[in-house]
Amino acid sequence: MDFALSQDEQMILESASEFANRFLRDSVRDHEREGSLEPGVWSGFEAAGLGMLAEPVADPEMELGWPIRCLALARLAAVDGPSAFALWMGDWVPRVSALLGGDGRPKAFQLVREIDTMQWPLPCLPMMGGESVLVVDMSGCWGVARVEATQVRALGMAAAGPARCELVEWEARGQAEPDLLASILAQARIWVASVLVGMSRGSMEYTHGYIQERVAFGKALAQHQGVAFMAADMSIRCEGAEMLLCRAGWGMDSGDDTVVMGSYAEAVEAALWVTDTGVQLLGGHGYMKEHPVEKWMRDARAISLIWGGVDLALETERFLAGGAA
Amino acid sequence: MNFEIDPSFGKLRDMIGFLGRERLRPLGLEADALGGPLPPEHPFFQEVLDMGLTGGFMGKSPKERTDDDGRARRTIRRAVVMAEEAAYWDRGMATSLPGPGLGGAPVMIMGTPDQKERLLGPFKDRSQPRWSAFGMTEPGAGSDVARIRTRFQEDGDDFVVNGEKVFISNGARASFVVCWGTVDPTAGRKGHRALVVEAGTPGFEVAKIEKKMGLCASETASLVFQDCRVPKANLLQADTDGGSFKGAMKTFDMTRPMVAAMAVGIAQAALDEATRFADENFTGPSAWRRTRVEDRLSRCRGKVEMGRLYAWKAAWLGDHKKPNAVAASMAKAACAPIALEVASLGMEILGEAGGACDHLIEKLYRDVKALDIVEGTGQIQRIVIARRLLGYEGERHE
Repeated sequence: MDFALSQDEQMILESASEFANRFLRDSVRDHEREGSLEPGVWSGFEAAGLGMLAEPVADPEMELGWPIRCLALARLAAVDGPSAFALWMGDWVPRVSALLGGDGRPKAFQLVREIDTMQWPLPCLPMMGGESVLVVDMSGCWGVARVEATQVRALGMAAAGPARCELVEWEARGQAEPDLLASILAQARIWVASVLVGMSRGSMEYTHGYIQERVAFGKALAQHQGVAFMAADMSIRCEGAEMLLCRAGWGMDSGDDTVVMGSYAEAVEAALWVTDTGVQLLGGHGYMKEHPVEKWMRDARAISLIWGGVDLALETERFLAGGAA
Repeated sequence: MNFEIDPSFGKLRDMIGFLGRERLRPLGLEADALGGPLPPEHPFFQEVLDMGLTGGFMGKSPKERTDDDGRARRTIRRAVVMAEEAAYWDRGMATSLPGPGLGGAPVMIMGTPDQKERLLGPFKDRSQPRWSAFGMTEPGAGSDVARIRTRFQEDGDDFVVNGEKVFISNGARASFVVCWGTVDPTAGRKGHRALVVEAGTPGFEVAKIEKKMGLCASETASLVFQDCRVPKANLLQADTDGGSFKGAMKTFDMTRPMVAAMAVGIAQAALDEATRFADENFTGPSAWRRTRVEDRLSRCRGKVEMGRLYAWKAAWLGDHKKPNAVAASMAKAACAPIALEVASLGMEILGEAGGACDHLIEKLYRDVKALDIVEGTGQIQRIVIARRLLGYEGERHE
């Protein structure tokens, strides 16, 4: 039982924070408005060496476990979830596609119940500006679809380029081995959980700062017990979700995915509550785009729906365990 | 990062598991039916000692202890793992295990070497069960310990103690009670002292043993002190102004992770029972219900694992002598509600059968509520967290 990070691990987190502060923090609203990231951000990400953290199969020589990779993604997402997600998928999806036997072009990923009966168009999928989607279903059927992507206005995750996707044609189809499928699904969920954990922490830290400054009824908001308790609960939930994320990742290091579902569900629930509470505690200011908390709330709701959300994840778990879907 | 339970804990944990299955669970149900604790003469307590087991902290002071290989000590981590295991079988019985327990912790933290030897030494003698108790709460002072009114008046080499203590675990069977009181009611916290009152001291009486909604196996006593003379040699850390109060708070940093772990133990027991009941009963035509129940059980499994991590993290920090007050309060605040939620889901799964007092989950549901109250309510934990993280100053008065 040991919660300590090694020096190498701490350095990775520091470089993630450094990158996020330098390339993401000041352009959060620009990225949201444009629905994409500036090219410099992509190259900065690779130059910082962060791309390799998103590898589906980690380089054994790097000796970097899943917990630290998840925490690094969370660090980026604490500054901007959608940008972090876009950058991460930009490295992860093409490699997963290649692992399955497809080409490395898709940056977007989609999990569906059954590939043969799936409904096109996909109404809103983060496309990262790409034109093909890696689709995987519960039984391990996969395909790479070339699509016509039309960017849409979306609740959140705008920087990841949410788009409506019409199918142009299937370019590759195949069947994944059960172990590989399970691993891909676990990775997909733990990445989303990481983004949510990071956004929760971002919202909590911003809110904690605000309520110590803002004065009402003669004292800082944080000095009012009703507010202080909500703020304490924000930190309790962030801490729990983050520890469970690390625990899930630690299991994955030895091929045990059993905690991933729990971590994912917790991350979703915690993020929805924490980011909502952030807006609540800032009051009217929280609702305005002057402050980032409203964005975290929208982004958390949006990304927790991706790939079928918790519902489809539970259904998939049951299906893989041999039960009725 | 490593989330494996230290292999060196295995043997002790297995022993507690064996004791739990064979004795703690059945005796806990017996005490629950009885509505009160087993008497101290019950042969079970001697059996525990004969097995070499003991409740709560034992051995060297956590302050002194480092492991031989130079690694950080593992005392609190061990205590947390054992607390979960024991509470899994029966939390009330776990609290009733003989040993220095809650009263021993402040003696270890604040006591002089002589006091440790004199007060804790007898616990090494395993020929008869012994307990100790921690007397903080009063009828008019619960969480707000600064309101303690029990009076310690100096008189020659003694203190004369007058006051009342309530909700004291093992208070009636303890060989000593660490009693918190004030030498000067106008001095606020600075007047607080901790005094060891030994059983049988004239003027110290047990007023009653409480009837509770759960945890019946654990003795909860009300104590009365009337012109009770206690030698000054029994004062803990007499020299430091306000030191006693800080001592109490430091005790909580060690015990709160254990209470959190106990909640996790109860949650795990409720989860296992509920899963077993669902497996046995929701098959065949009720597939829809089974699906819903499975989803909720799956969610609860994640929460229980998360609860365990809260307790472990607080224990890990404590073992490394890092500040753990926030982590301990988070663990305490998070775990008890998780356990109640799991037990409550268990009750739903039992359905109408849950209404009758003949199922373990029904008892767990009553038992677990206490853990959001003892060692500081959930509200108090949030105050501690807000103070440390946000500089929250409300409710602070001298």
